[in-house]
Amino acid sequence: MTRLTSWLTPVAFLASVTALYMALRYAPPERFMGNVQRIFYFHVAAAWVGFLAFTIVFVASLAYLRRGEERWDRLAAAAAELGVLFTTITLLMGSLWARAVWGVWWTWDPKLTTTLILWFLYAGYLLVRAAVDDRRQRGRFSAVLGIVGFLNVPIVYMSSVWWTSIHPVLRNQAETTLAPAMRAALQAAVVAFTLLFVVLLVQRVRLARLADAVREVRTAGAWKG
Amino acid sequence: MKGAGSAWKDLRLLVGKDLQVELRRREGLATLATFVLLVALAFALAFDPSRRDLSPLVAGAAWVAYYFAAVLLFGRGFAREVEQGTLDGLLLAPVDRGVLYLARVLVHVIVLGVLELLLTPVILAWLGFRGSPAWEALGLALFLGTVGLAATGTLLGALTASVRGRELLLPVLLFPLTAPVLLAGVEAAAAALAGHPGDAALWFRLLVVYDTMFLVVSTLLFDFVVTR
Repeated sequence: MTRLTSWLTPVAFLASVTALYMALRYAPPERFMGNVQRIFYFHVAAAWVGFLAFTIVFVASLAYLRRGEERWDRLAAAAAELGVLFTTITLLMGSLWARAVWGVWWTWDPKLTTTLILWFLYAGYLLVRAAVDDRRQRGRFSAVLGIVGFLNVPIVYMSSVWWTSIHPVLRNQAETTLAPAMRAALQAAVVAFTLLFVVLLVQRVRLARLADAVREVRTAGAWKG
Repeated sequence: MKGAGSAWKDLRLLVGKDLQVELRRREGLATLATFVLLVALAFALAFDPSRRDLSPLVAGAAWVAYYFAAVLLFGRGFAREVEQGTLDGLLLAPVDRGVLYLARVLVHVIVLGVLELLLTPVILAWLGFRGSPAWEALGLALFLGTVGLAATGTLLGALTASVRGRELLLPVLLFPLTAPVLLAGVEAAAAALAGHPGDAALWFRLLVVYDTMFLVVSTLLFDFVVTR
């Protein structure tokens, strides 16, 4: 694991610098929105990473309930923390962009509604983790939430699509085709954020494993003393 | 694993027991009913039905009132069992954990259903509703939504029962998980109140899908939530 991060960290750093360059210099300014559209590259990349993280929470939660091994719980917890972080970034960037382009800080578009509800869901997941002291109970409780929450996502998305299609929509973000340079910048941003996510995830899991090991040594010592 | 007949008997016994507990503590139900009416009163005072027509808002107001009452109800049941140590007794009994869960869902649906039956006319009157609602469709919308709330809320009520800060955690967890129920429930009830429930066919179907999915998944996961 440490060997993995020792080369992955510089790679993620280089990818991030490249992605910054491509988003800010290489890609042309958008015809109507101008430079503010450059938020798009990192906004989409952060949203993708957030969703990837919650998928990992789901898979790790299933594995934990099946096998009961601590490492799956640690992986789910780390992924949930990062997922909330990247979803927060997505929401903040999206809000700035919406203000500049649509003239409002928030609108109840299906994607926005779903992302916000996801954010609340996994923030609650982290709150439960913080409130339960017994490790096995915490693992089981959060695994149940990780599974139920993930299954809820498609229903939330469908219902918010129907909801906004009945209510007046402020403006629909049209699915436009991207210029090749823009597509390349988007791909660079997605790759960079994914690598950054993996580095952070590996480090976070390692930290949790060390913390558990320290606690075990401490309790063993207290037992003897 | 026991046969279906025996599971059915367990379910009836458990539901009977919980309903008896609820009836003996009548003040619990009275408090819930008062609470629903207070939310409706708050809506009436905040939006003043004597000066504008609140008819389009009534479905949302009623659902918000029932939603809050449901949160209070879900938080109570298992927490009381944990405090009095009766949950351990239930878990030791040779009853399938899924049946334990379904029985509690049923009790929650019955209690909330009685509240809705009694109080919906009051809410309609207080908020100055005008129009000719499709009553059967309104009842169906409330029922399907209540089943969805109870399916998720019962699982979360058991999950948070022994967690510190449960009074705050339960609503925080319940809301994002039941957001589709609230959305669909309000849209379905609004269409029924307007007398055109057919417009909300999609929402009724969504409620059925949600209810089925969460009843099945929660029945399977309930064991992990109560095991200690």
